[in-house]
Amino acid sequence: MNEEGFASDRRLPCGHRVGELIGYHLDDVPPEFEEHLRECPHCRAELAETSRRWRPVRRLARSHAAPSNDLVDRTLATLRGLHDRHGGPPMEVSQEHGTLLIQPAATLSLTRRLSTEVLAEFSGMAVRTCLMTREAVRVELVATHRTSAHELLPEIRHRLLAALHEHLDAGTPEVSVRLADVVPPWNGTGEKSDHPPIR
Amino acid sequence: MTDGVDSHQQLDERVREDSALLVAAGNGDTSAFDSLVRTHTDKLYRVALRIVGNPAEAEDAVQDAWVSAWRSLATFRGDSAASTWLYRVVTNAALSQVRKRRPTVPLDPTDETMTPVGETGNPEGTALREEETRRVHAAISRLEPSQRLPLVLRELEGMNYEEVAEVLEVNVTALRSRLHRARLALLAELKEAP
Repeated sequence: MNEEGFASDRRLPCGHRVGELIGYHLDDVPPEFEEHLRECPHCRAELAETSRRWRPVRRLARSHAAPSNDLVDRTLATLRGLHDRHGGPPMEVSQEHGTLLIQPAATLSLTRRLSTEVLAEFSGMAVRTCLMTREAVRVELVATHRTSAHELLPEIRHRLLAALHEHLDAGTPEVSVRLADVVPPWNGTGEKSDHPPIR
Repeated sequence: MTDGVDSHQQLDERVREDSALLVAAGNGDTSAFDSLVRTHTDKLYRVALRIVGNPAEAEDAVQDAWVSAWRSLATFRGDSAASTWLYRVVTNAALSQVRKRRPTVPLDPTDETMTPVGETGNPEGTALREEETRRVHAAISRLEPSQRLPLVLRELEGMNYEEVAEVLEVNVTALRSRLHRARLALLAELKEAP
């Protein structure tokens, strides 16, 4: 980002620099500057301009930003999967010098991490939930474009399985990847989306 | 004046309760941790959203943050407030989300049909407000992480310098310098604002 565009080093006729004024605007005005400000039309004008430009940031700070209604429930479900000691038996993988036991929580945690990494290459998609079921690790996704996202699911699952295989080899679990939610492109306001997820 | 003292006391009590819950969670009390999740998820989401600039990714970052927090309970020593510790965890998770991103082609960049008009009865005003918010978010997302994090915590979350410095584990002097640069950079971006 180019700070020079704002010309923060520009010196006003009174000798003060433009860049100083943002600090005065957002933090405290020192008494000596307060006195100067009363007399200086240049600083007053510049400060007013700074205030005008900063107004959208203040509005953003005041704006409401709430997550989906079920984020807490999904988070708690994820956490239960990680600390549930009765989440099923560990996976046994035969190795040259014995058997490797992989706990379900470790598999789940790894799948979650790798899912995020795989999705980094698919714009507009994110992990909604990653859960261990009796049959498979279930990865649910959220996307902003339903049609294109559906078409990409096989490829995403393929890449995820390949990544898991690199880590777990024969211990790679069965993985299901589904699109659980489609949200409108973000309107920028951070307002709550109340539409029901896909079932 | 009494109200101020009362709210201060309530805040102190809340800080103590949260710390006690974290300590209990560290001793294996999962319901204590669940309680923290219920209380702080909205706040963590707001921070994550402002760092990653995308709601779905922000929710993912929040879940990651809670997973990390659960795993790192042993590192909570109680020498900072629980909320400070949680802010640190979520800023790290959000930053990690940003760093994982690679240059990608959007699924369908031309599809604008799903953009909601809003419900204020003033479509033009809503559109302008949304555009302004998008513009500020876009400008923030172009800041380097070392500038973006203090700016979000100080200017959008309203934390004081000492709190932000504690979350980011830097001293206040370094923080002031980063924040000053962040503010100037953001102002430069917002230069053409109507």
